[in-house]
Amino acid sequence: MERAEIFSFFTALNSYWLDGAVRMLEGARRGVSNYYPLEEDPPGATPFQIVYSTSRLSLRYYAAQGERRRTPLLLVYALIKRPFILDLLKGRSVVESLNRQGFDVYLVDWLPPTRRDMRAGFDTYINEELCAVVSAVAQISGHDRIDVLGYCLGGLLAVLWSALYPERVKNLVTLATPINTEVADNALYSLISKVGDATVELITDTYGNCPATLINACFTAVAPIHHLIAKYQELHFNRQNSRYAAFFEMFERWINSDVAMAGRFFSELTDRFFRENPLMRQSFELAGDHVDLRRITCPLLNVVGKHDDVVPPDSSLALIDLVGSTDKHNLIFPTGHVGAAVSAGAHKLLWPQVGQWLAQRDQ
Amino acid sequence: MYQKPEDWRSLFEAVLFELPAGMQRLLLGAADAGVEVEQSASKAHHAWTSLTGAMIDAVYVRTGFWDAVLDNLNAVLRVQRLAQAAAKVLVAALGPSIGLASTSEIDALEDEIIRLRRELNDLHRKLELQPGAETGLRRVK
Repeated sequence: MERAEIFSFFTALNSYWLDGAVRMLEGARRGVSNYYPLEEDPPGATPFQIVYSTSRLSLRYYAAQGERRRTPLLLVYALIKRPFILDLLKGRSVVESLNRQGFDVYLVDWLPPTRRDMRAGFDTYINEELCAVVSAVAQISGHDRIDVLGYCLGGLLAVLWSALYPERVKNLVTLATPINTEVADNALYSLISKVGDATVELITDTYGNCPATLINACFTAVAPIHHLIAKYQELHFNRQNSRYAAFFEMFERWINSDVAMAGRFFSELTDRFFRENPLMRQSFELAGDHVDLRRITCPLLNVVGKHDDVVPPDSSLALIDLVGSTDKHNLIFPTGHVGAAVSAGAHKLLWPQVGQWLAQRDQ
Repeated sequence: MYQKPEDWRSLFEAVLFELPAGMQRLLLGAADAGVEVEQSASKAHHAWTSLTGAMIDAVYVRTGFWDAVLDNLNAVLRVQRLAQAAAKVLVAALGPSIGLASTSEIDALEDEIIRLRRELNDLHRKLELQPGAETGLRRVK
């Protein structure tokens, strides 16, 4: 090994930072524009069709490969960032993995909100949009009861929806889902719980929706060492590996694909959800209806990332004791928040297990 | 959240013993010294990353850091809202007199453009040839 190579990381760091700054600025441009340029999303690894759309969402259909399972699977993605993390690259795609296991997959692609959506809150996303999506899936597939898989905030929406409409859910899978918000020693939860009414009001008065740049800034601020140095070190050590470089590029594109959050949803999330911790107190109400998680009686698989620092394990694990299901399991996997969707380990071990769990209940 | 003692041990081992020894061997021209130095540097870096991450988390959670950040954010937002309101007054007052559209007309036009762009996007996607298209799907209104 040349002596110069030993210190090459430090000389390369400048170019990594410059590239990172360009990606961040590109993300900021997409985030602050009134119309998020959806056409700039990468095409994805798996072919799909849009089978239903409203002004707030597109429903994508990914057809099963090989022997087809009976029940369609609805993936409810989070409301922040674009959903291409679930179909990032061949071999690192959740959708592809589920298709290969015979599942017809429907993915809810929440469209970035515009000024007109600033009054959309939990009620709109759950009682209007998710209900319409499930009806669409039922009409297309011919199945009234479907499997639902929710990721992160999408998991929260899926849980709330399942509690309100339990008769429509056959099996529920939650992945890195925030439930208990009184979790000690987590930087992100600590920040969100401190966002007071004044800040929320100022943000929504000024912008209508919570801007994507603010959301991105929050995530960057809670893990500065990772974003400034650690990820570039990994890239540098893998610089001869072209597949890693391609993965890094796509992943960074996703990291900078933040979208705004509808004003009312942002307000309800910070105030009603994070500060009041209503699911643990069984006091969550939606459009006057009490959301009782004990009404969820379908089989439940709660997938938790052991090293998740965005939604800490203690926050997700609380779900299992709140639901009325008898067939319920926690699956704690040694990964982080996003690693559950993209890591090689998750695609080798986690997603086959999730598929198998669903397949066993596909009667 | 908490700094782990083993991270401190790794950091001290790497910085105080392994790195200096490796550097010495490297300067003397030992064949495998480069690898040794890189491994020690990597060990020190991982330990430092972990310790610093834990320290930053502790600062976030146990101090008034977020309160200070949010206070500053509020101040910036207040100024921005004031500037926005002033700009709107200016446009509303002067815009029509010099032939510019009113703010509500601009907002309505923007909404319409967004709607049309989304429609176009949908149509474009439908026209794209996607493999596996024979699914017999019906469009749900």
